[in-house]
Amino acid sequence: MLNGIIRRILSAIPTLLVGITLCFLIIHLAPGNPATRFLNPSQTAATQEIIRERFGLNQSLPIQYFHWLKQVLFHFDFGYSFYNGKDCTEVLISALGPTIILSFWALVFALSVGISLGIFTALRADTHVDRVINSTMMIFLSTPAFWLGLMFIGLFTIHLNWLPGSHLHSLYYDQLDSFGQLLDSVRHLILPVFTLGLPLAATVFKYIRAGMIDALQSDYTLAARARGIRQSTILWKYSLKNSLLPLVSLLGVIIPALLSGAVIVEVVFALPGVGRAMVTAVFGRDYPILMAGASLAFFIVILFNIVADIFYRILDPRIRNSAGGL
Amino acid sequence: MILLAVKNLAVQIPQQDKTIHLLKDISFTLKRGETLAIIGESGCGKSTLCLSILGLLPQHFQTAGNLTFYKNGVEIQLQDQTDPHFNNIRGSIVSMVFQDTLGSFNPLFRCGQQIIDVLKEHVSGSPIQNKQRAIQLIQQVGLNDAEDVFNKYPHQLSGGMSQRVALALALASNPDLLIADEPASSLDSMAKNQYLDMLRELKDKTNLALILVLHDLNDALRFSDSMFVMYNGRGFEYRKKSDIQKTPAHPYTRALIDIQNSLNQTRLPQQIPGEVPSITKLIPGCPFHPRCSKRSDICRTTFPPPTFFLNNHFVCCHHYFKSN
Repeated sequence: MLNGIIRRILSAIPTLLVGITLCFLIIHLAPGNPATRFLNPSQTAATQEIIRERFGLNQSLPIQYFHWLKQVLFHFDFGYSFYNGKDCTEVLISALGPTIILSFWALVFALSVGISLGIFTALRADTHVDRVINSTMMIFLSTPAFWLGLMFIGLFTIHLNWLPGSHLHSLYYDQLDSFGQLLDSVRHLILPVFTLGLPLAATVFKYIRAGMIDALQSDYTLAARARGIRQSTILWKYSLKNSLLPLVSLLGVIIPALLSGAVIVEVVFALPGVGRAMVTAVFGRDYPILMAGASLAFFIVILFNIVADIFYRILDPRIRNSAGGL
Repeated sequence: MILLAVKNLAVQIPQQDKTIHLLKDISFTLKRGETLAIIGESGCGKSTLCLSILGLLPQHFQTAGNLTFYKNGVEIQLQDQTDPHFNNIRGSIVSMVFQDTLGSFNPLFRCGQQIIDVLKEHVSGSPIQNKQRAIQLIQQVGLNDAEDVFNKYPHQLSGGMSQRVALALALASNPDLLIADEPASSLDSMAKNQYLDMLRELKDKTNLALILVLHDLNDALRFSDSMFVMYNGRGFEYRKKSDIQKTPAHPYTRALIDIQNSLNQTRLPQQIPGEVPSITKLIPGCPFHPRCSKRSDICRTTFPPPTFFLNNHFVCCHHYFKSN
């Protein structure tokens, strides 16, 4: 098992490298030039050239790439932002806080709502309650996050004025006592978490409902009932474990979905997270920030895929013992 | 001493435009220690009959008739039990080994754990006692390395082992009646005979009643006390094995025995002309009449009423008296 995990981690390294290389190339292929950001009517072509030289953009692409890779691999140095000269690592670390908070609560929300509703409806398959919940979840599944976010802001912030629709805190946050600060943060998080979490909850719901129905109709459930095993054991011990299996492999898909979803949600709700930093960097052609963010995203996606693989193998003995697996 | 009495059991699926009759008018009785073989071609309702005895038919199936268990002088009507009470019958009175034994294990739990779950449900004991009992059960079904099997996952078992562990699981609750649906159909003939012999020994030791659902008439003739021949959801003939072997009363039973004899004599196998009718198709009269060599006009219109012998044994054929 340990050997398998080490093998899996080693095989992830080329994936990471190929991904980052492709990303570097694609970013540089995109039209536009970082130097134009500093363009003003008094600048001459020579000034432009000076800026390009300062950023190292006058060198050929392979040289730029290997220079960047060397700095990252040997000094863990992602460079400095073209825009404000800040250290990329620091920029990302400071932006990571809001993203982690948002993603974590969205994941908690998606898992708790998805799993509980999935079980609830699987036990009532093909009833009216099941159909209503199922259709509602399908609507959330197919709704784009940016539209959902805008609708939430329109309804709960502008129309009803119940919840704030932007930023992490209110302007008067520092003047509040600690309970007030907590309440203020929670109020600010509700709409973004719902926007990011609802489509994910629908995905989780779909998997759990299908898995649970499958498990409840399976031969082993029938056989367990024939042996007189009580319904609660069948449900909570036998069927739930089986229906959670696809969810574990889904983890490898959920995390990228969270990351890409967070980009949109952070922009819609003006949250200072990694997503918004990336969007700003894309528009400003801020290559170092973009590359640092992309590397982080690649790393997280690959890491969670490995974690999902390991969990899957722990939970499912059939894969654990198969040859050629982990 | 009678353990189970099935009287006029009928199972049907109501649909919008018609009703599909899966079982019609099934009646038999089973004594303690008796082995009843249910014989019939695929799709004749054998498995439905087993599941209805366990009360495990899907909810949209309608059942009628009586299923009565007699335990310690108490009559338990299965039809009257609401679902939670069924759990007291399932396992403790009747248990079942399924045809697809590997599919009847939960793939994510060790075999031993699954046996312990059954023990927890029906037998009170400490975790250590339960483990010892589980290992005993595995030994009882003829597996030597019981500790090893206890720790195995279902997918690690061979075909023969999984048959035996499935039997251990079914016996863990100490039932009075064991239903085995094609218990050894996936085994080669030597392993099958060993398995059925072991089942017979276990039955003799514990006075267990057995319902064996079998394809193979030879096995039925070797291992059963009485036989129930089914066709198209109906019981055609229910008699002692020795009687059926000597003088099959129904033309269908006779045809089955003739086929078996031809196989035993290594002649080219005969076959019954025509096809097995689908259970969804409504055939007026006796459902066997299109394939029967003795059919007459009445067979086409009326299902023959049962002619009873001793012990509620019967045969349903218009021509029974004529041919005898």
